[in-house]
Amino acid sequence: MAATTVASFLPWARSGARLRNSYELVGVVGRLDLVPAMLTGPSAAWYFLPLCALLTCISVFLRCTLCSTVLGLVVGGATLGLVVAVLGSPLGIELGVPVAASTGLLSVVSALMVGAQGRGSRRDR
Amino acid sequence: MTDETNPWARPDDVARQGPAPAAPGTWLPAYPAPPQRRRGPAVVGVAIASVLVLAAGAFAVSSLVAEGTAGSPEEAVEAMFTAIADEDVLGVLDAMAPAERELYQPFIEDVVDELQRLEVLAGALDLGDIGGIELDVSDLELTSAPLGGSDRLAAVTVLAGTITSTVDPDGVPLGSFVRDLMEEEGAALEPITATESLTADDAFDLVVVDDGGWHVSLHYSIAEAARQAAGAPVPDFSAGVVPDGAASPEQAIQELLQAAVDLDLRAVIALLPPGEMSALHDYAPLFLGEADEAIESLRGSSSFDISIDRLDTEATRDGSTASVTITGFAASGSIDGEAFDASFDGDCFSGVFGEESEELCLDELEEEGMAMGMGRSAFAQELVDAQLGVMTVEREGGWYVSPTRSFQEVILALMRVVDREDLEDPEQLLSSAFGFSPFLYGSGFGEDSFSTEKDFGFEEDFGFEEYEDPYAECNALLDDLPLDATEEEYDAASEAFNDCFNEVAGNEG
Repeated sequence: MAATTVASFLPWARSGARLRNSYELVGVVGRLDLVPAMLTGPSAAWYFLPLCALLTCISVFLRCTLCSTVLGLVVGGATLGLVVAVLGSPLGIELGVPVAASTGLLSVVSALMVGAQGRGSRRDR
Repeated sequence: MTDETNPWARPDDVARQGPAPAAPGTWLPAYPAPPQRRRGPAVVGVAIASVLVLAAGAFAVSSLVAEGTAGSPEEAVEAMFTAIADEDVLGVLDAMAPAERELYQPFIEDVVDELQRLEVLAGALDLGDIGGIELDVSDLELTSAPLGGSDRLAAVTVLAGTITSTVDPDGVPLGSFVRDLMEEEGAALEPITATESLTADDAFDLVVVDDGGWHVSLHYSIAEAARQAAGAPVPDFSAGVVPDGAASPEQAIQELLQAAVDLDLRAVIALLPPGEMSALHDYAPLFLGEADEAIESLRGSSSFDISIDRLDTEATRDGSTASVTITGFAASGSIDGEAFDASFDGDCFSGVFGEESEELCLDELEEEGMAMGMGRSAFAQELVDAQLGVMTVEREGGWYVSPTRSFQEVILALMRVVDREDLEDPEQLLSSAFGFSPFLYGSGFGEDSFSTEKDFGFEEDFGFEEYEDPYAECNALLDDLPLDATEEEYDAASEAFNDCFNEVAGNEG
């Protein structure tokens, strides 16, 4: 989760000589209507990624399997979704994108593993 | 269950289960209270987590609220110059006023697409790296002041700065058409570097608007520059023309035409969309007075009364925009006491002016044009097929006529009917555009002017294939002139051409 959050602050895209992290990119893309109107709202939710990542960590610490699974899937899924969107754009891709793709994938896999483990534990009880 | 019956119970579990029931008749629990746990680390952990959650929440909210908007007029202009210097297309668009960005961004994208199709620009144009152009803006000095006391408009004066630009033609994303042309012309262009230092004499104003953040406005900047050039006072921005939209796209066209024939300039301007034409609304009072006087003077010198009795329109809506095509109309009135009546039903025009009446149908017009060698060309036919209409937009519940969008549609329609082959043969392009070639006689384009790959079919219509240019021999004198001919060679060829021309003209009588 920490790596995903860090990746979101790395440079994601380049326009001319200007590098933008994922938040700057989501902001400018939303303002310029470069994404379909139906995606404008969800893209604004990207700003809550650090909060969601933090809540995921807290829920793991509190052993709330369901919360950590759901939040982990949300964080990982959102990260992978944005990565795919940026890869499909005409913008120059920067370091943040491959790093976020890796951490996003890791988040999804971890969340699924935590979910599966929690389910197994409940079955054992 | 107690810890006596569950030997694996963890102290946590015991604590959760609470003390065992007290033995009957006693007030004491059956076992001693568990030892107090150290709560210090947990409290610190909760505190840190709370701070982090608050920080993350604050980041999200502040990002949503700020959304990259400039906090001051100078910041907006600085952002624009920085984006230009960085060749940051997204940054330039972001610094523009949203209404103008919305107006020009799709148009620029469409124009770039068409230029790529025509191979004027390279197909793989990378927004992130437009090569071949280097810009640097430094030592920028800005000052700003509210414009005319308005709290939503400010003039930012660019007092000083240095702009250095380098253009390397080899790196510019030009398409094969331009590159081939440059190669044919033997143009070996070297990189060009230019440095422009702004001094106090070059100071200029950029107008920024506050629409949820400061943005540079192209339209207001043009209007302000025109005002300054005219030496007019700053208008009262609270007393501009109030936009007044129509109930539907068709109604907007109807009202605009009626206002136009009534010479009601204020009503015409009121029917133009806010945002796109806000600058005109605000600056119109500077010239409306004089315009009204001129109109009154015109009315005094001649009397006329025109009314649009019928307007047949077809509107094609797409969200908040609509293209309106006029398919027919009827107008009547009088000019200097003489009554007139005019109408068009989609096929024929008919008009009655005083005692005279006239009817002219499109097919007759086309036949007459053909007889004059100006038949409807394939180019014109393609434009007709494009069903160009007047663009209207919906703003705040009302429909307005958008002149900029209408003009953009015409430009795009013209670009869409042109092919790469047309660009390679300008004479063919003009022929296809006008139905005849302006270069036909003594063009110097040679005898094979019409023998291009694209066949529009009017050579046969007009019998051009049978035409023998009497001046072909003379034209050849100029055609044979090499591109790198010296001035002396050119003069000699021109003289020979003139002699030849005069001789042939004399023989032709």
